[in-house]
Amino acid sequence: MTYLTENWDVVLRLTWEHLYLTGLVLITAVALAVPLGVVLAHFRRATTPALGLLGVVYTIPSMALFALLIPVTGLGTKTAATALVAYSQYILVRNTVAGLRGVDPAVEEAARGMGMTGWQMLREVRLPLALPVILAGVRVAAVTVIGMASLAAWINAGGLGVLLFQGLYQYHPVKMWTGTVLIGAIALAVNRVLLILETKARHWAGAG
Amino acid sequence: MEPAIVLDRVSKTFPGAAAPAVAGCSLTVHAGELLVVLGSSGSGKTTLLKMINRIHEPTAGRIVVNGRDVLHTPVTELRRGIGYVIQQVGLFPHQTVAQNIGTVPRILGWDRRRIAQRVDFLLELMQLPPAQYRDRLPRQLSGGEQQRVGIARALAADPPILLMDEPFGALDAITRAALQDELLDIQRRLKKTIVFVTHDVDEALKLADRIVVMEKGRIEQAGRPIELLSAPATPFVRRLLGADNLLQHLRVLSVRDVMEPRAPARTAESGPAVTAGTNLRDALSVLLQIRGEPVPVVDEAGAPVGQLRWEHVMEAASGGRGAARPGTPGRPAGGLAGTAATPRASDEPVRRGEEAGAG
Repeated sequence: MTYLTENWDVVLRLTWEHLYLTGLVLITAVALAVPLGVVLAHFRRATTPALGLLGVVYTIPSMALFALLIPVTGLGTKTAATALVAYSQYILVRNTVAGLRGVDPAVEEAARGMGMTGWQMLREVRLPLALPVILAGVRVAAVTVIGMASLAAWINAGGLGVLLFQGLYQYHPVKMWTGTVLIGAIALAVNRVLLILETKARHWAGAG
Repeated sequence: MEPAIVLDRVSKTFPGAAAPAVAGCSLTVHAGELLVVLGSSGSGKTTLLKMINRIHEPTAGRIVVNGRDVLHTPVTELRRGIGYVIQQVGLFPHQTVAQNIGTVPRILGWDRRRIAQRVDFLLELMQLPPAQYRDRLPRQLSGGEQQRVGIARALAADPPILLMDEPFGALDAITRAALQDELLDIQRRLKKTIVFVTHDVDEALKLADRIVVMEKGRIEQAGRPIELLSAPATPFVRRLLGADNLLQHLRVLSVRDVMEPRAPARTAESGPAVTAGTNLRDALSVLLQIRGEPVPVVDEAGAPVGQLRWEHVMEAASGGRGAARPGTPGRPAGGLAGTAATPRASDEPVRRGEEAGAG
């Protein structure tokens, strides 16, 4: 236990790194996935092949994905972030498409019949109504990314994974437990917050 | 009479469909008339309606709305000038009643106060007290209330034309009848051109200035209800409207069409009376109650305007002559263009005094 009292600054830094990597990944991933989902929801024929491709990425073991990227982006945060963004696209795009497709066709027809432009419909009707499903995707992606970001330590991207790997190599149970508990706590907390947002969005979108 | 909508040999074949959904339909909708498109499912009636606001685009033919070819009008501009009401209503579930109704004014850039005033006016019009309903969400409304809001939303920017696709089809009978009456009332007050699609013959006969019967993508017949009943153009129209049932004829004729227009010697004070706008089926019920005695006819204000005798109803039933009788006030003799003073089945007979006190 003396490890914790003596090294709390290291633990804090690693926690911050972990949160930073996760946050960066999620923001980038959502910024890519939502527009992609909007486009795919429009071009029905492209949906299956595109989701199939993202699904393939999703099934590649994360270690393997890191390894594949190292020759391109080198060791470090960049590689870890790239891999995790690619990894989370499947869930996020799939949920965006599902959310948009799930909007009541009568609501869309009414909106179109009133003379809304495609953009107005998207902004005022379709995205707000798809929000609960999109947020559900963000929640699953967030929890997955928080867990997988531990492996980023393996390629020098820092984060709480550092504690896990050190604990493993040095047989240092306190490090292992500290890393595990903190990662678990972050995942649970983020899950909780996003679940609350999702429920609010669901209620707001009229389904709750 | 100025045409609001003109369809000129309009056809629509959906990709991959063997037969056209709409095949060479020509039709003129006059400004201010309530035109009902009547047909079974798959008759093409809804497709026909949805080509007017370009939800579907015709594969052949031309559609002109307010003098402009719809295909040459920017689609959003076209639609903002046409109210659109559908059976499933399609209210935005995440917006309040007021926000829903304010949609088109908002995208047209009206200022906030003008929108709020318009919303309140329309809620009043639809018999939904604004203070009570303005801030509700669609899921807090009954089906009938939702469709009232749907109609208010369609009327929001005061479009001259209203397209209604089976708007009351999902409502219970009592709510449906109430909304039908309100629609007629709104139509009288606001003078909109309404194209109303239904598969319900009773609804068509009750609402229509003119009925267009469609079957298999073609127009079987277009005309005033009594014209379709007394001279059905095809066996299909005869069967669909129940033209062989003389009570159908009576319900689309009003007392005004067949009564003796002079004032009766006796005032209506003592016995039952009917209003001039009452349909003949309801008037017949009154005649039966008083065992065929002549019944005084009064106007909306209660002043005597004529009397109705048993023989008048008999004559009307045997060939619908009342409809074609020339010189009847407010009613052009024949001709498909006739839109004024159409009999309304919704008017209730007015009774005065105790029914036992008759005679």
